Amino acid sequence: MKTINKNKMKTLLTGVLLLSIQLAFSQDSSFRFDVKGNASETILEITQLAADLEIRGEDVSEILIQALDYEGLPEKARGLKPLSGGAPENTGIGLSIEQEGNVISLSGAHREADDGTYRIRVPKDLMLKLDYLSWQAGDVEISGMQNEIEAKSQVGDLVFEDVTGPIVAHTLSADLEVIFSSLNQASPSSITSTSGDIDVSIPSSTEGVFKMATVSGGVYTDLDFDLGEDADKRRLVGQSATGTLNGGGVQVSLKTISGDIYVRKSN
Amino acid sequence: MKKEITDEELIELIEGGANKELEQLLSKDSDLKNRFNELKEVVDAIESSQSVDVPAHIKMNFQETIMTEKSKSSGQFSWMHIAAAVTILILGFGLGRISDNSNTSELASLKSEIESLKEVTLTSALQEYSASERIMAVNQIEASTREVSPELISTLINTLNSDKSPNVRYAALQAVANYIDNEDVRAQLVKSLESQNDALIQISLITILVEAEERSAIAPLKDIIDNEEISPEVKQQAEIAIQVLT
Amino acid sequence: MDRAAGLDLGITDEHLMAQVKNGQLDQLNELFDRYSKRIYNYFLKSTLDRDDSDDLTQELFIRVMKYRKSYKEGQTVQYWIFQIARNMTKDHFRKMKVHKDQFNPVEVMPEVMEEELDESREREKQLYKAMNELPDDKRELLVLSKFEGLKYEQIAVMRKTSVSNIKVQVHRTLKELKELYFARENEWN
Repeated sequence: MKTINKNKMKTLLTGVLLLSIQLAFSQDSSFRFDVKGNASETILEITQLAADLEIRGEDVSEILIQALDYEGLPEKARGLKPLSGGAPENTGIGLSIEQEGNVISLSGAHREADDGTYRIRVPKDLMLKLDYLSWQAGDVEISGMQNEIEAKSQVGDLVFEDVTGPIVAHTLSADLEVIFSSLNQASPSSITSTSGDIDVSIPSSTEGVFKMATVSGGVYTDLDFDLGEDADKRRLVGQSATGTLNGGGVQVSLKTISGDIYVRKSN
Repeated sequence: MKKEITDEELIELIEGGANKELEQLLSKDSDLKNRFNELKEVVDAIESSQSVDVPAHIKMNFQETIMTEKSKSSGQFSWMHIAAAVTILILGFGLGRISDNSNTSELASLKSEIESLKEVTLTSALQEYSASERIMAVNQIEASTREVSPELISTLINTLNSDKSPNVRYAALQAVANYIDNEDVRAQLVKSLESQNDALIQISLITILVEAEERSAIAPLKDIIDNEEISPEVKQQAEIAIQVLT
Repeated sequence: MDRAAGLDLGITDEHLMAQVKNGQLDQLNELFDRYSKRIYNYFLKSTLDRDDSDDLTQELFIRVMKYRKSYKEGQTVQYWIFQIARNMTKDHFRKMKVHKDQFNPVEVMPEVMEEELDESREREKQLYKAMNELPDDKRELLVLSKFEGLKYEQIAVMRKTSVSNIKVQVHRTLKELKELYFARENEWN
């Protein structure tokens, strides 16, 4: 009896110890932020950051940011502040976050944040706005979101999965991949790039009007578009088509200059 | 044995902190009284200072802002209101014409929205909306079959030149392209070519101007070829365009 | 007196702001009427610049409108508004790195028909000249406490410090102001 208790105790202690180590660790590399007000009317605006990002929408009411490989300031800089800083670091993981009215601004507090990878869990009905205009910008993966996403990127790929839109995204040379779980009919989506490929997947039952245009690339699809009289109209320069799906619905504009356009059935 | 009286203590007395001992000292010590009077004069000057009236334009501007905000936040139908306002501007309807079948309070609010829209210009009013909503407004103008007012065309051109989202600028360009037969529109697009900095918009603009055979575009196209900051893809398109146009 | 019978006049600032928060945006007009003059003069005496005060006042009421949802019901409206105003002033001072040498006190005073030799008006000019020489932050503190009459307790919360600390600072600033005020007078006479 006594020995069992002792063993149990030991296991329990080890458990507690492990847990506290884990807690200490996770406290060290993550940050929670309460969203004030109604999430669906709130915008998370990400600027001045070039880190790799994974943003996942879930049934939660707060934002949880985990730094996956943020190394922090150099050892020698302990107790010093980086001169080239942006907004004040208030997360302990290289980022600055604050809410003013219905806008939550998230940005890198200093250069070191740009080398990191962050995993951000957010309320799924939050609006996202992302300015990823740095030439060093990392890739961005967004999933599970059920509100508008507006994103701009030069070189970092944008991958949106299990989203409803509306999506308004533009890249210079990076590829854009969007997998819609369904298509928000309230307002249009627009996905454009100068030289990146655009790859969109949608359920075959989606209603919509797709305007697809490329100057020197091709348009490829396995969906049953009604192209009307417009069928594969070759313009003076490039290729463009307007395809109606399931009788029509909200407008989706896909445009690239030198990239290809792929529109796939997701089911 | 005189205790040194600080200015702070005197200020406290002026602020109303009763201090019998200090008051007695004041009546005896003329230097102290002098210091007290100086402080009193400054505090009196502050207390008797006059307030300036708020300039009238501040109130007017704020009333206009409230109006725009109201149209935005009157529930989830707010967007529909703006959309309706856009439609009315497009169709050039007199307000009286729709009064027959609308209820009056809605009409009144719509009327004030349209008036405020005209004043603040649609372009800046649109900036209050999300990128997707702005594209919707642009598409709506594009979809209208009737003659569009010069006001709306300039809204589209302003949007093409100043919207923060390249997607919205692109949508505006597609919409403006429908009026390419208009000489003013062509001139505006040539002008816009000089100010755009996004390759997607630059190339799309060049394509549209080439299809319209707009020869006045040749000069800005040459500038593009000479400009070191412009990307090679755009320069290449500009070269092709010059060949086609000359 | 029954408050309900008193129409808008009887409604408290807090009730008014709660209505704004709940979507009655027209009540912002009433709020503007109640606060604009104080806010405008707060900006005017803190920045000592008329154009800047125009812009700041405009911007403040837009912020009140935009951030109406962040107003917590029960919170003192005067405090809430002045807190927004103070943050704006702070930002303004941060941006305004260059101090203006040219300063005409008449700019921050009400216009008068004729520039008569009125003793109190002369005294007021003297006051603003002295205030112009105070550091921005101290001047703003003085405006909040002495011109706008905010309680030391409220200012302490705004500045995230203790009441006694604020009191000491206000008194020190008054003393400094007095020295500037009379230094000028001696220089002139």
